Amino acid sequence: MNPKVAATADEASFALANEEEDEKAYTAAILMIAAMLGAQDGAFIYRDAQEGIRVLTPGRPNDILLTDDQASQLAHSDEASAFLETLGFSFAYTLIIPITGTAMDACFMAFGRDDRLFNKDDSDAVMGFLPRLSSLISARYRLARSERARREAERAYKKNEERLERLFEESHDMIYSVDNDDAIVSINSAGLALLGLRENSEAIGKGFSSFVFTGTDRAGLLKKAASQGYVDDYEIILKKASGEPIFCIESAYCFRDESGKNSEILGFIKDISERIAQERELWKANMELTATNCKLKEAEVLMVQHEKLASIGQLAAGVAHEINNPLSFLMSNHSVFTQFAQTIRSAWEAILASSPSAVEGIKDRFDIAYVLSEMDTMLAETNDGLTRIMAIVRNLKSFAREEMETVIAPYDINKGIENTLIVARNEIKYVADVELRLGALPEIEASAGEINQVLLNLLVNSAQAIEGQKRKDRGHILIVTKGVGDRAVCEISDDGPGVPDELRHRIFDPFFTTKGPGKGTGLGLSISYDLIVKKHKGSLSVERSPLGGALFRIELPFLHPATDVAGGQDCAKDA
Amino acid sequence: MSTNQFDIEASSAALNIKVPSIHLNIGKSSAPRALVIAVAGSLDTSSSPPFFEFMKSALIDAEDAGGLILDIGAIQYISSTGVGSFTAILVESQKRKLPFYLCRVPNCVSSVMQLLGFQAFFSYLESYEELV
Repeated sequence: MNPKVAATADEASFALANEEEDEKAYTAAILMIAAMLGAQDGAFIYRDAQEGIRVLTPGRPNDILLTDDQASQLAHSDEASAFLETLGFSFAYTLIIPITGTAMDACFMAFGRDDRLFNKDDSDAVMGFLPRLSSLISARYRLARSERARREAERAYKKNEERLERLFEESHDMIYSVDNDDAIVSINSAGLALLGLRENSEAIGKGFSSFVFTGTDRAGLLKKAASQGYVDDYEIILKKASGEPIFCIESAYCFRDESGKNSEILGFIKDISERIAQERELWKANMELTATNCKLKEAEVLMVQHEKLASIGQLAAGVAHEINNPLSFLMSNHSVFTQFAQTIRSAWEAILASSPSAVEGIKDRFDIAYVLSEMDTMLAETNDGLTRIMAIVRNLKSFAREEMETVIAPYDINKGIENTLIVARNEIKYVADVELRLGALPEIEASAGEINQVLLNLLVNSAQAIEGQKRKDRGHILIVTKGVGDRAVCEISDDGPGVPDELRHRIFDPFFTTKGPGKGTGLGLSISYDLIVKKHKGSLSVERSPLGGALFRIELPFLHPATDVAGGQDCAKDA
Repeated sequence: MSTNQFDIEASSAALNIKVPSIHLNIGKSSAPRALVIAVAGSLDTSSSPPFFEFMKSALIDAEDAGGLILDIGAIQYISSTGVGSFTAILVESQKRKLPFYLCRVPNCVSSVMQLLGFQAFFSYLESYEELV
């Protein structure tokens, strides 16, 4: 028996809080009761702070921790006695007292002695301690549970911290934090790798902006984070130590101190360079594909136009042949008939002068004066009509290239414009003013007659369009020439009514005209198109003019592709 | 108010296009030979889709005007998606054979476009008057 603990229960300190002290208190209680009973040893079986079942035997150096199965055997005193024997708690007589009313199960006190039986007085004496002891055990148990919860929380916190540290270090994405001045406080290995750095010291303390390609982007992120506390999926371009840009996406969270002031920003940055590269290729391919499609469509329109021209050319050649022969003898007969009419008029006038009385009756009866007057008018109108038919046939022949002989020679386009303006003067002078902005251009290789014909067509068209507006003010025709790359460009624009969008694609079609009857054959622009595009390998287009009307743009190569022209001429011959 | 600095706030309010949550204002005006659309704010992953949807409808009006000018002088931030929306507008305008110009391109935009390698695809204006 340990004399140091042979004291009353009051002497046992109940103000202990930790497990080690609990054990001391329980040991003191057991020894005290054992001494009171004259027992040789005592044991205390209880659930400790770890919620394991412990067997505390003060006389033995090592405590025994039971499994739950072993603890369940202690449900009955008989079994408890047998079980205690297996633990070396073996005496002739054993007193086992279950401690009830505690917050725990499986709580017993056991005492053993060899010299005599335990009697009711002994058990009553122990029971006398129990109320005080059970409240002690309950209090200890609660404290122990609280302590256990704290330890578990600490363990969980530590585990969490380890996980976070692992996440920070092993993350494939950059994780960093900056202070209120945007200076880097921490950065993980992925971040260092992303920025092309080797050591933490190369980043810690440095302003984050120094690793951002565009400083204003970082300012935008900080502003956004400060105002709303976080930033999600903010695309930012970082800069490697080598200067190489890296497309990234960042989410950042702003931490505030007690006063609500921003104290730290924690950012997560993912490298999306690969995704951006794929998107870039996709966008680029899309743009190139669209451009190619547009070119294809333009080529298709040109091909259709060429095809139309070729068909119309064949038709025109046939029609011109068919009309030309009867027209020739009509013209010839008309000329002779006009002369004959003049002869008849002269004869009549001679008769009238020599013997007016002889023809007085005839003159009145046949209304000769009226007939002669109307005959002149009719002959003039017939002449006009035949002349117009001839013009149409000539145009048709020109379209079919049966008439014009192409002579490719050095050609000054500015000079050509000036010459054409002289020819077109009568058409233009009453309706519009012409402004020339002629750039210095080298001579091109072209057929002067054909190009001048095109220029004349376009200028007369402009003048007629302006005239058709019946406006009070004078119109404005602007002619601009310039060199663009390997081509000479001539733009003829006006402030007339322009070409409606819906008609723009038809304007170069043969026989298409917006002019009134008798004003145009509808061949002028298609012939012009043919001359510029097919014969000179240039381009002729129409668009809206800055002046408000139409703008026709002629582009001609400085050097005439002779072989192509030969090909074109062959085609024309076929037609 | 000059043609280069029309009131985006007022214009966007009239158009009901202001989207505060995505910090993007869109204004609409006109210049000779073109419809002008001006944007201000951030053109990012969130704001690019509604911006492009608006631009698609604006392209129809731009066809009547003869061209489209996108004034991005007041853009403060652009993401790759924002630049992607420019390329999509370019594609749509090319399909319509409509001249499309980026006007008053700020550094924050030009640097991203340069990095993406798209600068050469676009036509640029310093001011609307350049088109006249």
